[in-house]
Amino acid sequence: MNGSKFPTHDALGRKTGLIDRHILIVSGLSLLLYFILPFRTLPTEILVFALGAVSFNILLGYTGLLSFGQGAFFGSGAYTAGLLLIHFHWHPLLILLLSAFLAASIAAVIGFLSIRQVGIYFVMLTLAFNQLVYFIVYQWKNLTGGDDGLLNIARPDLSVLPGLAVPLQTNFQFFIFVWAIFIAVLIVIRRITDSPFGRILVAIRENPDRGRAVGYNIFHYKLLAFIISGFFTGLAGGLYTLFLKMVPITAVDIITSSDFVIMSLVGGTRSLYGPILGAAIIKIASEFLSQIWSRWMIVLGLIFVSFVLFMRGGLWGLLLNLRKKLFAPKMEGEGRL
Amino acid sequence: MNAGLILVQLLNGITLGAIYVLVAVGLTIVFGMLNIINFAHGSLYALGAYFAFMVATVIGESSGSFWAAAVVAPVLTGIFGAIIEITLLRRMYHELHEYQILLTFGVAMVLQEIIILIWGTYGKSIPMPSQLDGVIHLGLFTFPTYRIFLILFTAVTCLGLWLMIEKTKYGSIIRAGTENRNMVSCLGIDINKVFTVIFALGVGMAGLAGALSLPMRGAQSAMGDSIMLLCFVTITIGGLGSFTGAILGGLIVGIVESMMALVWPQGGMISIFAAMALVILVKPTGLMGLK
Amino acid sequence: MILITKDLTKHFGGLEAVSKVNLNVEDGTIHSIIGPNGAGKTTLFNMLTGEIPVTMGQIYFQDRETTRLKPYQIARAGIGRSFQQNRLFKGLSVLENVRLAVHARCRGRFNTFKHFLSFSQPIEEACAILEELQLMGVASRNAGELSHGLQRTLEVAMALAARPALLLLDEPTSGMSPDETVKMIRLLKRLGKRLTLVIIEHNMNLVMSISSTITVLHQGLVIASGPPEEIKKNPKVHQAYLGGNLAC
Repeated sequence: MNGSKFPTHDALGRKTGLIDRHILIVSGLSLLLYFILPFRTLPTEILVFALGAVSFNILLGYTGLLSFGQGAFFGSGAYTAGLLLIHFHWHPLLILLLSAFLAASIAAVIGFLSIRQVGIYFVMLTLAFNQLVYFIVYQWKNLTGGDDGLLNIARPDLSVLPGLAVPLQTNFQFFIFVWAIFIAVLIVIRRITDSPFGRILVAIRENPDRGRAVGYNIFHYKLLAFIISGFFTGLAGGLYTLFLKMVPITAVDIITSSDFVIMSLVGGTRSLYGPILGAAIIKIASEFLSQIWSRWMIVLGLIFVSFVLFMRGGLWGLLLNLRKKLFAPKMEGEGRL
Repeated sequence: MNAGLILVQLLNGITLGAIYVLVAVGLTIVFGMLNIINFAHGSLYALGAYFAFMVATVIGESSGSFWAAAVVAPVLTGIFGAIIEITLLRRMYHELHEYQILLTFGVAMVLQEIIILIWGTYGKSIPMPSQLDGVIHLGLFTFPTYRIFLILFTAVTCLGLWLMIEKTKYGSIIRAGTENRNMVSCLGIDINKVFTVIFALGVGMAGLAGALSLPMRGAQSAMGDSIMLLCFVTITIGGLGSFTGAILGGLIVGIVESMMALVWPQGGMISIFAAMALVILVKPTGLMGLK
Repeated sequence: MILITKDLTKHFGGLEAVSKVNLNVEDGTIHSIIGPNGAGKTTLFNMLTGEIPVTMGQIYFQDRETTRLKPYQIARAGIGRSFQQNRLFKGLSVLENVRLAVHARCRGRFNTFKHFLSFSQPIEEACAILEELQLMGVASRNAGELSHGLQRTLEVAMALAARPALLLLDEPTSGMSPDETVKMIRLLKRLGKRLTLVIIEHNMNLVMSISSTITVLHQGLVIASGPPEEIKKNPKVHQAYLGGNLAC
């Protein structure tokens, strides 16, 4: 079959390497967060939640699955990390990996059971499973500390060679650690979404029936998306534990699940980076607003509602539109996602 | 554990179930007829309770204050629901379920905070109406009069609602409108008004449930969230979109919750959510479900 | 026979939508299925492609029973399907639509490590299909923005992506202008030379001019089956269409 001379980048986008200018910009801006914001721990928190939101968006933005139960994975990762840190003194990277794997396993189970349904049933199932996990954590006081959570967790340093360790104790040190992991994970997630697998997720979002009719086993793909999302969400949960040096029960609460939903929607679900923007905006706004008005969540809720009504593309979509209007529209495969 | 205790718990379960039934029927009416998922339904239940508190407090200590609240609160909630429908929901009828969920979720968030803003975070309550404050002797045991009233009232309300929807002309307009809104519009009936009324009715049921639960359980700022989840469990078990399913589901959830308190108190919530998951896996449309 | 159905039946509650349909489709032919609205044609297709479960009967494709296969297995087995209501990836470009469809049977379906553009085979094949269907001009447009006629053509392209031995097309020309219909007829003739086609259609010109066999369905039953000349003269067929003419 002689390849057509057709310039496919108009229709499919251009192939990019692992690190391109988008990644560089995001890396730079997120690094800058630490120096711009007048808070010392907020930037780290933003990155942790940004990671959770991006992982969630694999399900919503890419696959079209509104999973309202990501807290189950975030919390599982957090509690795993907490328990491992309390009882063993393993390498933090190993602990993060184990947290991610546990969360992925739970995601596999919950996903397997939830994906059998679509639409509202699916959403309610994810909610119900989240609640189930929450109540199990709440009741299993011996393991999880119940309402109190796990407290007084020591944050280990990052040992590189025997006898040589990178300290992670100060805010800045830990921020750099989280930032490095965040960027690395972002690159991996981006490659996943740019891979054939990632494109199929988008196909599922657009028209799952057609996906089936051309030969894709949609169930498998949805399940894998769940597992991948669960993995990285659990990783974020583990980072959260290292960050707080405790595990609050809110980590597994539906509140956390809603956080990811809100951040992704406000930031923009139709892009990889939207949820990062959303996490930053929401966290910063919350920080400022909560000091002004104790009922600041009303403002957040109103903003969220307006976004659902009028700005489906989120802030990222808004920025893209602005860019199109200001500069000559160069369709670099933006129709892709 | 004697027979009397079990029977009391059973009746308690039915009482709880009655509340869940009212809430679930309201949600079912809205979903079954408008095909819209209202995540804010729980907050409107809470709103009904707080409205009842407000009315009763305004009227003051008198034997009529509860009854006035029980009438006015659902109406106020219904009106509030109508406003939400007209301003926000109307745009969403043709949208994906996901966006409806997100929208009503946002509304719930705002409502929750507004409730705290107005009424604070401490629980509120009103005294039982004097006519119903007492117990009834039922052979082996005594049972609060108010709860018997609640059960009977719910039964009558559901019957009345069912009769209205199935047997009256207005009900047939509603049923027709959900089948084919264009056709009904062509007949000269304002379908928008019909939908608003349906939504207000469904929401009013939640408000009624809230008002009725106020003397018995009080009002707390988090009551909306917890009832919302239980409501989802109820309609999932009973059948999304099914009137009888909502009743069946509500009773099941109430009874399970109540009986579990005897057997495994910590496992009450876990059992309920596990039961929901089981139903979805085995019979996804619910026990009485059709859609 | 590339496709055989034995007493294929579908009940919806009390309604028998398809009754004991026996279909015999010869390899390399164009076999049309016609009948008044509600005759069960699309339901038949839905059973053939596993979209809905079969109540009774069997389906054999290339001597292999496919009755209980799921849609994605049917596609992999070599049956391509276009739908009466377009099933396209509306938010994606035309080329991406077909590329996705092609990639379903290529290496790397589950690959999460390489950029999807490094798989050149699906892209090349997709371009080839678009060229054959004269859709290259709109390759970078979003499928949702196309005119109805072009969308219907893209529907057929999606079915072709599976490199099927058998193509099931459900009303491929519905809603098309006369010009577009002529183009589609030409395309179908071309495809018919190398694939087996089973087409549901209401356009009698099309059906009569290109089919080797026509099966007529009425209220779920096969009332006639044979070459076009026979069908034209068949009184039962005339009656089914309310005494209307099948004159073309």
